[in-house]
Amino acid sequence: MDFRFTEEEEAFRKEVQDFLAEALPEDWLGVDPDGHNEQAVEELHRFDLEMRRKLAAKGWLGLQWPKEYGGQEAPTMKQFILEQELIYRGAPYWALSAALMIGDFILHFGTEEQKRRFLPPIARGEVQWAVGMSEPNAGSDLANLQLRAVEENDCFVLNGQKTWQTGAHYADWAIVYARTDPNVSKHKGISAFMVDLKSPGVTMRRIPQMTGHPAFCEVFYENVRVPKQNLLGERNKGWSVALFGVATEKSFGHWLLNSARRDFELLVQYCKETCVNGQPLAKDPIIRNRLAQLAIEIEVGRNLGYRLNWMAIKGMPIVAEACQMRPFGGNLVQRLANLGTQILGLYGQLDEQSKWAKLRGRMKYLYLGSAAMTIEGGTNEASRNTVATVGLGLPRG
Amino acid sequence: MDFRFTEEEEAFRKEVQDFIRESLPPDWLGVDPGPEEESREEVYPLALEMWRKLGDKGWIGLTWPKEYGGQEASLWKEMTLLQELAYRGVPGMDLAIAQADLLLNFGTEEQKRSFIPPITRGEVKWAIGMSEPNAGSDTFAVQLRAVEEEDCFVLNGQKIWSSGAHHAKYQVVYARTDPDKHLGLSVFIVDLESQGITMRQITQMTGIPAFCEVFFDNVRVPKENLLGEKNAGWQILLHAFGGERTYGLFIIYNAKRYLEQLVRYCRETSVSGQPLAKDPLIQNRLAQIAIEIEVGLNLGHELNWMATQGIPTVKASSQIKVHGAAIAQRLANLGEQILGLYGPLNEDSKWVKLGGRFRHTYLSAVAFSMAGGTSETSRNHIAGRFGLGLPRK
Repeated sequence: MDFRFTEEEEAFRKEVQDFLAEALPEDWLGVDPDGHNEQAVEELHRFDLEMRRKLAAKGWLGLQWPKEYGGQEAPTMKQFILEQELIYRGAPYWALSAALMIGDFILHFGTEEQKRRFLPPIARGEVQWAVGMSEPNAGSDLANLQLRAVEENDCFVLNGQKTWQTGAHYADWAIVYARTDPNVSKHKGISAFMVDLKSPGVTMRRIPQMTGHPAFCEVFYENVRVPKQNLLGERNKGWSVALFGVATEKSFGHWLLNSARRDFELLVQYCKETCVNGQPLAKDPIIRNRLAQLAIEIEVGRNLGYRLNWMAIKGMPIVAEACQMRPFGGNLVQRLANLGTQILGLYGQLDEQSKWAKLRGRMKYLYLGSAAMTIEGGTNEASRNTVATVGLGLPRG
Repeated sequence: MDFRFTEEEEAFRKEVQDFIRESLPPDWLGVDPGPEEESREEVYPLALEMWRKLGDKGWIGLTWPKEYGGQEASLWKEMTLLQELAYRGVPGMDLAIAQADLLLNFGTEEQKRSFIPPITRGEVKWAIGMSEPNAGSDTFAVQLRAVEEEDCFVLNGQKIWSSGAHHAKYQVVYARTDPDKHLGLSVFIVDLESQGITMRQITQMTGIPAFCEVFFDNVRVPKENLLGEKNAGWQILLHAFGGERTYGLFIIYNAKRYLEQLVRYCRETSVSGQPLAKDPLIQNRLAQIAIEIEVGLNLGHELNWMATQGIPTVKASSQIKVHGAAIAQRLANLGEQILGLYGPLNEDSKWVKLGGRFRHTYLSAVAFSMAGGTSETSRNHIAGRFGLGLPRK
């Protein structure tokens, strides 16, 4: 057992840290890994695009991809380190990650022509992707999706609706899961398509969230014609694309834990610098106790993440472990936000636009934004089901 | 809305408090409600004595009809008594009280006259024969057979977790008289000295052998000991579950005593030159439990009031049971942490603190979320038709 990184890995980490020190503004508070900040605020979105181009210029998008498609064929650990640093510093991450994920799908399921067409623009940071999965009646029960794709001579015609599509209003393309055969069992009649969001028939409506940031959309498909060469993988085999995503996704929970470290340090710093009744908050035994508890959990999270990554590198199945981290991460951010709001007292409720706001309203944002963090991208409950069935081998209910 | 007790109720409360003070040793640390701690050797004689004394005062079955030895007093009076007994941790209140309630509701005249007066005099102890190895939360899965013969029923099978059965004279036994799962249970009053009954005490992790496996090998039970109608045992079962309302309440009153002991300990004990009671973290944790206990007490007052008004109490009883068990477990945990390494010491260690009560409650409170109806089934009641009306899965 060895908990160290190699010299080469440490050197790369430093390279990323230096890059971020330059690329991020000095007082950068950080955005969350679910993309809900930068996909909602125009200014942050532009910054996201800029960051993506800079990362692409360093050759850091699609690190693990074959060189012929714009990748670097770098080891998994390098990708892990890059991701860890970006998320820890709260650099915009969601959109580039969604694109990479879809790129991975294309690498695994796509034709040669699709790989050549779609991967290089992603590696160059030129294109933003959205994920068309959930529908009003298909969330945790994704297989219940209804959006229809009817095959015609030269294309598929899509009709229906997706919802909760983060950043769709800024995206160029979307991967859309649609029903191509309503006559077989629901998992067996799904196909995955790459859809140009500028296609005629695509309309969007942004959905405001309680943070005040409308980060995601309902996307309506009305007779949208999708060329047959945009079908990903085999017709009616789209569910295996989704499953591939689940099997390889290295845990939203891990991202949350990593990002939480930054917010936690912010809170600790605040407690060190702020005096109440003549004493720094950091000297208050109850506050210390609560901060220490979070520190322990964040450290646990960090180690879980290392282990998860090591397992992935070794090619071990990681679904159950990734699902373990998901509720752990979501719950931790909520506890952190709760504690932060309490420590800040009445200031904790102030928006960053108030002149009295502390930490530029970061705790208030986190308090409201973290409500979604036990639900989005796979709920805590669904994750625990996977831990129970895949992890512990318990029978399905 | 009125949160006060009447003068009469307050006077009775004082009477009970005086009685308790006179009957118990001055340094009495208390035992948990229920028969479990009676199985401690040093507690049993006191339990028998207290049960008899309560009978002498006429305080057993306060609300029961006078013709059976009761006082026809108000439910408030009875609750006041039971709460004070739970709060002071008085041993002796027997399961017989709940069983007499079943007799009053489902028994024949003869059964009432025969069984209830000895209970009111504190002369006899009862046990409950409900659970079996394969029938716990799923009570209707009971398998112990009762076959009707000419002049009696013959019982064969086994019961488990029967608290205090080794001390009891009678056991209320839920048996299967018909294969229909829900409509095939009958209830019997069984004399535990009958031929064919053997028992094996089970020791809990507290170290107390508080309950028993009870084996029935061709036990002949007279027909007149059938309680209620044959195969209509489900009615008695449901009634018995309703009676569990008091269990959660007792746990909370019991917890109040433990908390006060812990608070006193914190006031009197200094660590690193400062009383524990001045430590902000400890204050914070004690305050949290105090809040939860206060919430529980108020839930209890409302629950009692509902009972006096004839309002259905299944949901509220379930709520208070879940809440009470959770508080007791958190309090036990907190106490053990505050006591530090002294916490795990047994009561016969010369270094023990608080008479080892917190070690005891740490081990015994585990069962509070399981015994007498698990917290999970209680939550099912709250979610289901008794409470939120959510559909069964």
